[in-house]
Amino acid sequence: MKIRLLDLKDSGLATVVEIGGGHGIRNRLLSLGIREGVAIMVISAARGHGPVVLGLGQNRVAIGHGMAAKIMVEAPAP
Amino acid sequence: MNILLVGQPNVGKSVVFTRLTGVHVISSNYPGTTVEFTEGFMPLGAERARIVDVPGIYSLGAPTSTAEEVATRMIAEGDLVINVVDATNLERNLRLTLQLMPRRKPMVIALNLSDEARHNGIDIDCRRLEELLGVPVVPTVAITGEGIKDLVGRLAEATAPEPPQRDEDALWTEVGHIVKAVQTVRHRHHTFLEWLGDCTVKTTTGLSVAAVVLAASFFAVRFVGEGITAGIMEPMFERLWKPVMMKLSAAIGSGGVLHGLLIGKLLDGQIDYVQSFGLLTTGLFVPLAVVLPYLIAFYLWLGLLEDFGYLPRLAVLLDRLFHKVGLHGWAVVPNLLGMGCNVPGILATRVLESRRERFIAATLVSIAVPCAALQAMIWALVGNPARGGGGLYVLLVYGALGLSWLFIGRVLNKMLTGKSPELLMEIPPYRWPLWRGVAKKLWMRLRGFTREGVPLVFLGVLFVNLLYMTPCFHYVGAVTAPVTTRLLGLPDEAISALMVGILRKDMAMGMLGAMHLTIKQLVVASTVLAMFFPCVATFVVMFRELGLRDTAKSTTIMVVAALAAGGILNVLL
Repeated sequence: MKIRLLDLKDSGLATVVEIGGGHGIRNRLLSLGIREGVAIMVISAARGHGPVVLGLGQNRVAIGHGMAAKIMVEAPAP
Repeated sequence: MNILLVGQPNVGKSVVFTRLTGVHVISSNYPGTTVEFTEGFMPLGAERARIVDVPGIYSLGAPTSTAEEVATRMIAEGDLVINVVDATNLERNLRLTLQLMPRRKPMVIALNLSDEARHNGIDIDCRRLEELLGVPVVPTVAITGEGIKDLVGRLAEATAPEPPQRDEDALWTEVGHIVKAVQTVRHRHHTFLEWLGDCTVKTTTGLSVAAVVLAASFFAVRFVGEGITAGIMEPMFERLWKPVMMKLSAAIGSGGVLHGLLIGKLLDGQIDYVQSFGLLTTGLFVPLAVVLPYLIAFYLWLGLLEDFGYLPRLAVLLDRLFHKVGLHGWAVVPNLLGMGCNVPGILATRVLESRRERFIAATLVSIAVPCAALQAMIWALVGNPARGGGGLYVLLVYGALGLSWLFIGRVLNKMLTGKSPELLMEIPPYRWPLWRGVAKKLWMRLRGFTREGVPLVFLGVLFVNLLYMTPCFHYVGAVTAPVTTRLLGLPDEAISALMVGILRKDMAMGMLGAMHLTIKQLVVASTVLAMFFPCVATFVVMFRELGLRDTAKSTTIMVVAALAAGGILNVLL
C-alpha cells in the first residue's frame, strides 16, 4: 500500500518508494542515506509541523516536516 | 606534504587528528563540531607532514553549508587524503569515499569506530574492502588510539586508483555491492542506550526529559559554580591574598596614582574586592573568583551533554520553537555554545545552511544570549541578597533576554526575504563520555579564557582607572545623560560601564556593582549591558563571518533593541 510517510504511525516500518521535490532536497536526503528502496522506520512522528525522526537500520536521521511530506512509502497493509 | 583528514560529519576526524599531531581540538558527539579547519604537524619519515582537520561533509556534490564549502575547496589542495570512515555506517560513508576517488588523490582509509561496530554486531572484512577499493584500509578506534600506528605506517602505501565514470545510480549500486561483499550483520537485541536514545527524541517522552535535563543543567552549574566560589576562591582571596594586599597598600601609601591602579579605593580602610577596582584586587577577583568557577561548571556540564550525544536530540525537540525565529532546531548549538562565550557561538552558525539563517542566528546570539562571564556577574550582583536582589531578579533579567530573543527573531524572520531551510541531520547514538576527553575539552576551553579573557579584564581595569583620572567619562556622561537617566533611569556614570562593556562585559558589571545602584537599576543596567553591544572579541568574529554590512545592520538592531528593552523595564519595574 503506497502512502505518505507522514501517514505512517510511530514505529511503523516501510520502504521508501518515491521522493518528490527538487534536486536540492533529493540530494540532501540522499547524502544521509534516504533514497528509493531503503527500508525505514518512524521513530517519532510529526505532531503539527514538527520534524520526523527516521530509523535506517541502527542509524537515526531527523528530517523537517516539509521534506517528510514529499516522501512516499510502501507500507504493509494494516 | 599536505595530508587531509576527510570524512562525513561525526566520524571522529578530530580525534584522529589529535592522535596524529598531539594538537588538541574540540571534539563532541554531534555532526559539525569542526567548522574551521585546524592544522598540525607530525613527523613522517624524514619529513614533517602537515595534517589538516577538514570539516565533515556528507557528499562532494553542491555544498550546503559554509563548513562544506570550506571542505570542498580544501580537498583540491591536499597531497594525500586520509578518508575517515564510520564503520557503524559503512554504506553512507562509502558513497563519499567513491566520490573522492575521481579527485585522484592518494588515499588511505581509517575505518574508525570499529569497536562500536563490532559491539553492534557488524563485522567488516577489511582485507576484502581493501581489494575492492584498491586503497589501504586500517581499522581504528581513535578515541583509545588503537590502530593509529598502523594507519601512519601504511600512509606510504596510499594509492589513487582510477575509478570508472559513474552516475549517482551506479554509485549506489557499487556501494551496495561492496557493502554486501564485506559486511555481515549479526542480529542482536537493543541496548539500554539505544532505547534511551529513542525515548529522548520522541515528542511524547522527550519533552519532559528535556525539561528535566535543562533544569538539572541550571542547578548543576549554579551548584558547582557557587561551590567553587564560596568554598575555595573566596576563602583564598579573603584569608591569603587580602593580608598581602593590605601590606602592599600600606607600603605604597593610599592616595597615590600607583595605589589607585594596583589596589584601588579603600572602603573604611579595607579592600573590597568588588568596589576597590584595582588591578590586583578587583582585576584578579572578578575573573578568577567569580567568572572562572562559573565557566568550569558550565563547560563541564556542556562537555558531558555534548559527548553523550544529547544536543542533536534537543535540536529535534526544539525545532518548532526555532522555526518561529526563522531557524531550525540545529541552531540550538550556536545558542548553547554562546552561553559559554559568544565567539564560538557565532562561529558555530557555520553549520547553518543559508546566509539568512546565519545572520539571524549570529544577531540573536550576540543580542540575547549572555556569555558565562556575564552570567556569573549577573548572579553575583543581581542575585545578591545584600543588594536587595535574589533569584527572582535574576530570572527577570533572563526573562527579558528570552523575550527579546523571541521578539527580535520573529521580527527578523518576517522582515528578511527568503525562507529558511528545514531541519535535516543525523542523530548520533548515545556514547558514554570518557572522563579524559571531557577533562581535556574543559581544559582547552578554560585555557581560551585565561589566555584571552583575563588579559582583557586587566586591560579593562587599567583603562577604566586611567579614564577616571581624565574628565572623559564625565564628558560622555553629560552628553548621554538624557538617554541614561530619562530613558533608562540610571545615573549618568552608568554610561562608563556600558562603554567598558565593549571590552569585557564581566568587568562592566563589576563597575555597575561599584556604583551603588538600586536593585531595579541593576536589573535594567544588566539587561541593557547584555544586549547593547557585543564585546570586542564577538564583534571581530561577527565582522569576519557576516561582513561589514550585515555586522552594521546587526549592531544597529542591538543598540535599538537594548534601549527599547531597558526603557520598557524601567517603566514597568
